[in-house]
Amino acid sequence: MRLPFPRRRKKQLEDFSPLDLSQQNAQQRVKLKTSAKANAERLQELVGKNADFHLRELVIPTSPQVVAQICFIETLTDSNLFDRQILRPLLEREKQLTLKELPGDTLSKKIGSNLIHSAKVRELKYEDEVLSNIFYGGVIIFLEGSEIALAVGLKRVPERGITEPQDEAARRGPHQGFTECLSSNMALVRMRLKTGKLRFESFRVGRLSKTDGAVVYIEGIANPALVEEARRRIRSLDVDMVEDNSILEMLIQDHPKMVFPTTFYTERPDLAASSLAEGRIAILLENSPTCLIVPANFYDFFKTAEDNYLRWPFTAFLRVARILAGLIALWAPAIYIAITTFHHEMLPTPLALSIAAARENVPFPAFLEVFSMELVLELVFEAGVRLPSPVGQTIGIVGAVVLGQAAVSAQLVSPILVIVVAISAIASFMVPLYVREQGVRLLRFPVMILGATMGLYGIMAGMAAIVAVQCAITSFGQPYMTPLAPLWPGTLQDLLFRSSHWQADARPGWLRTVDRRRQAEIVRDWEKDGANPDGEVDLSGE
Amino acid sequence: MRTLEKIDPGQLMLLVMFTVPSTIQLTLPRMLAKVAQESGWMSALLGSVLGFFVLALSALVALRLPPGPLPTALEALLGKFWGKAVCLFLAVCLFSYIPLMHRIFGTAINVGMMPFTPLSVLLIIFSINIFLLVYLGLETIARSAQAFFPVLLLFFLFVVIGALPLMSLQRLKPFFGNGLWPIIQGTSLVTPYFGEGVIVLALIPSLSDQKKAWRSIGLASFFIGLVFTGVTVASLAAFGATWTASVPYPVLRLARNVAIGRFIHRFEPFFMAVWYISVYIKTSLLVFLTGKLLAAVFNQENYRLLCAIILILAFPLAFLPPDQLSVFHLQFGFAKVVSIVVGVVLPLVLLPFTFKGGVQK
Repeated sequence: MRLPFPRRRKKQLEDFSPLDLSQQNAQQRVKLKTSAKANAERLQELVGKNADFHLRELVIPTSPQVVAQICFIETLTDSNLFDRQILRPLLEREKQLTLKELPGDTLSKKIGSNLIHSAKVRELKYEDEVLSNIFYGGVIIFLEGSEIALAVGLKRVPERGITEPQDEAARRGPHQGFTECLSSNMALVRMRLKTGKLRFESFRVGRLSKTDGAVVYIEGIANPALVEEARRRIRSLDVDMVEDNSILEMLIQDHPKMVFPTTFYTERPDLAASSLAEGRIAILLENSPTCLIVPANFYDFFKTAEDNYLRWPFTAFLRVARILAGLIALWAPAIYIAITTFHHEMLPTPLALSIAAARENVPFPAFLEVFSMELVLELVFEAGVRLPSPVGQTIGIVGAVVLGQAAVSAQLVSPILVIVVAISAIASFMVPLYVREQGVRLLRFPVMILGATMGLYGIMAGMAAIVAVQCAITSFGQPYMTPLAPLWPGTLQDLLFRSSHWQADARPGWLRTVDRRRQAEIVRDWEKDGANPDGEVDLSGE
Repeated sequence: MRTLEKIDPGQLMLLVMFTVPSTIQLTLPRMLAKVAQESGWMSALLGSVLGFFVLALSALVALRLPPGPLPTALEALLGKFWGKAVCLFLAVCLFSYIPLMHRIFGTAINVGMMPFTPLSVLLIIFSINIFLLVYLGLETIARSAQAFFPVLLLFFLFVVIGALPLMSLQRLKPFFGNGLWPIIQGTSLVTPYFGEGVIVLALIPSLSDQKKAWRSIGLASFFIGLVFTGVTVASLAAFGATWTASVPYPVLRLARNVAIGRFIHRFEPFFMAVWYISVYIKTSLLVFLTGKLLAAVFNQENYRLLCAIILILAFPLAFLPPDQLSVFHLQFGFAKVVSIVVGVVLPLVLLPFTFKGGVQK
C-alpha cells in the first residue's frame, strides 16, 4: 500500500553499514601490525587528544617476557574490574609461567585464555574493530610480536535503579520498568520468559553513537518473515545517532509522516514479555527506557498492561470506555461547534434556548470560543510538563479554576463550552499511550475547522478521510485496522472484550504465528478431571 | 487492473451491500408507496428475492471467466478487440452512475442536512474524499467499508428501533388491497437495481477465496433485502401509504421523529451522515473500477490520473438535472435502464462465451 508521500532514494544495502564496522569491505580494512607500540600509537592517533584515553606499557612476567601495550578509556571502563581481571592476573604471579607450557596456538590465545580472568575476551585483527571496542568500554591489549590484539569487555554503565514506569503505572501487576541499561532490560525480559527459544539478536546502530540494541523474539512463535523484516530495516539504517527508541521507531516504522503511531512502545517488561508470547517482536535499545513492539494495530493503543491483571468484565468495560474516550476527545468539540452553528434543530427547544442564553453575551462565534479554549488548555498541559512537579500542580489549578472560571465570568466563553472542552481533555487522557493521545489532540484542530465550516457534513468527511488513511497504513506490513478491517473473527473478541485467561487459547490470528495455540484446550484441568469438579474443600476434618 | 489487489469474501459482501441500496435507499419507500400503496413492503421483499438472481448472474459469469483481472480475462475470452470493447462499455456504464450519485448525494445533503450550503461546495468536498480513497486502492476501499459497517449498522438499528413507537401495523393493512399487479409493478422498482451488482464481475477476480463467492453474494442479497424491506415497512407503518408517497425522503422523515428523551431529537443529520458513508463507499468503488477499466483499455499504468479526470468530468455532469424532480426521474428511469443493461443483458451476453470457452477457440 503506497501512501501519497514521496519515497526517498533506494539505498544500496551493500554500502557501508554502521551496524557493525566489521561489515566494511575487506579491502578497506586495515590489519594490525606486529609491533605493539606502533599499534598503540596508531590507536592514540585515531582516538585523538582525549583526557580520558590512557595508554600504558607493561611487561608480563612470563618466560620469555611479553611486552604489552594496554589502552582504555577511563570514563567507560570499570576500574575495579580492570584491576581484578587484567592487571593483577598479568602482573602478580607467585611463580613465573613459561609461555610454551601454556595451552594455545598463538600468543594472543595463550595470554587471553590463560592469564586474563574475564569471560569477555575477544581477538581483534583490524583497526576498526579495535576502535569500535575501545569506545564500547573495552580494554585493548596489544602484544608485541602479535598481529592480534585482545579486547576485554569491562564496560561501566552509569545506571539508575529499576523504578516503577512513569507513564504506565498499574495498581495490580509488577511495578518494574525498563531502564536505560540494555543488559538490565534484557534481564528483565528474560526473567519473565525462561525459555531457550527466547532470542536476543544484537545490533549496533549509529555511525557516531554506535548504540547497541537487541531484536527480541521467541523462535517457534514469531513469524520468521516478521523477524527478517525487522532485521532488514535495522540493518539498512545509515544515520549518525540513534539516541532513543523513539528515533529508531521513526526510522523503521512504515509511515513515519503520519500522526498515527504504527509501532507500540512500553516501559513495562511484563507487557513486553506478553507481547513476545503473542508472537510479536520487541526491540530494545541502549540508553532507552522503553521497548518497541511491532507490529501494532489501532486497538493496541487502547490497551494497557493492567488489562491482563484485572477481571475480564472490568477490562472489557475499560476498553470500551477508552475507545469511547478517544472518540469523544477527537469529535466532541467539533460536534459542539457543528450543532451550535449549523444544526440547532437537533436540540430540543429548551436546551437550545438555554445554550443560546448562555452564549448570549459571548462576543465570539462558537468556533473561536472552542478553538481558543483548546489552545489555552494545550498551553496549560505543556507548561505543566515543563515545570517541576510541585509547581506543575499549581499550573493545573490556575488553568482549570482561574482561567476557566474567569473566562466564564468575563463572558468570554459560555459555561457549557467549558464543560465540553473539559470532557474532551479528560477523555484524551484516558487514551493510554502518549503518542496516540498526541495524535488525537493534534487532529482535534482540523476536525474543529471542518465542523465550523461544514457542520456534521464536514465532520463526516473528516472522519471518512481519517478512517481511509488508517485503513491504508500498515505496521510492519500488517494492516493497521486489523482485526476489524480486514476482519479476523477469532481475534475480534479480544478487541473490546478481553477473553478470560483460560479461554484465550489462540494467539492473535493476524500475526500468523508459527505456533498458533497459546495453551492447552482445557486450562482449568482441575475442574474436568472428575476428582473434585466443584472444588469443594472440607475444612472441618470430618 | 493488470495487478490484483486482494479482498476477502467478507469484504466482497460489504462492497456489494454498500453498492446496491444506496442509489434508491432514501426514496424507495416513497416510490413503492406510490405504486403499491400499503403493499409496498411486499414489492421490496419480492424484488429483493428476484434481485438475488440478478446478482447471481454476474457472479456466475465472473466465476466462469478465465483467471486474472477482468480486462485480461475478457481479452482471453473474447479476443483483444472485443475484450477491450466490453471493458470500455462497462466503464462507460459505470461512469454514468458517478455524476448521478454525486447529484443524488448533493441534493439529499442539501435537503436533509446543509440547506444553505451551495451544492458545488458539497460536491467538491465529496470528490476530494472519494479521490483520497480511490488513490489508496481497492483494499483500502474494502477495509473502509468494513471499518464503517458496525457504525452504519448501529445507526440503522437505532433509527429503526427509535421509530418503533411511531409505527402501527394497522397502517400496513389491507394486505393485497389493490391486488397482485401493483406489487409486481413495485418489484420492477427494486429488482433492476441489483444490476449494479455487476461490480462483482470486476471484484471476484480479486477475491482471495473464490469458493466463498456464492456465500458472499447470498448474504449480501439477504442484507440488501432486509434494508429495502426494513425501510419500506418502517416508513409505511409510521406514516401510512399516502403520506409516505408524498414525502421526498420518507426515511429521513423517520429519522427526524426519533428522539433521545428531551436531549437530542431530529436525528436526520446523523442518518444523513450514515448515508453519506454508504454513498461515499459506493461512488469510490465506481470511480476506482471505471478508472481501472479505462486504464486497461488505454494501456495506462496509472489509473489514479484517470480517476481524477473521471471525478472532474462528473462534477459538471452532476449539475445537468435542473431540479429535484429530474433527479428522481433519472434515479428511477435512467439508472434503472443502465442497471438492467449492465447487470442483466451484459452478463447474459457473456455467459454463453464462458461455457463455450471463448471466441478465441
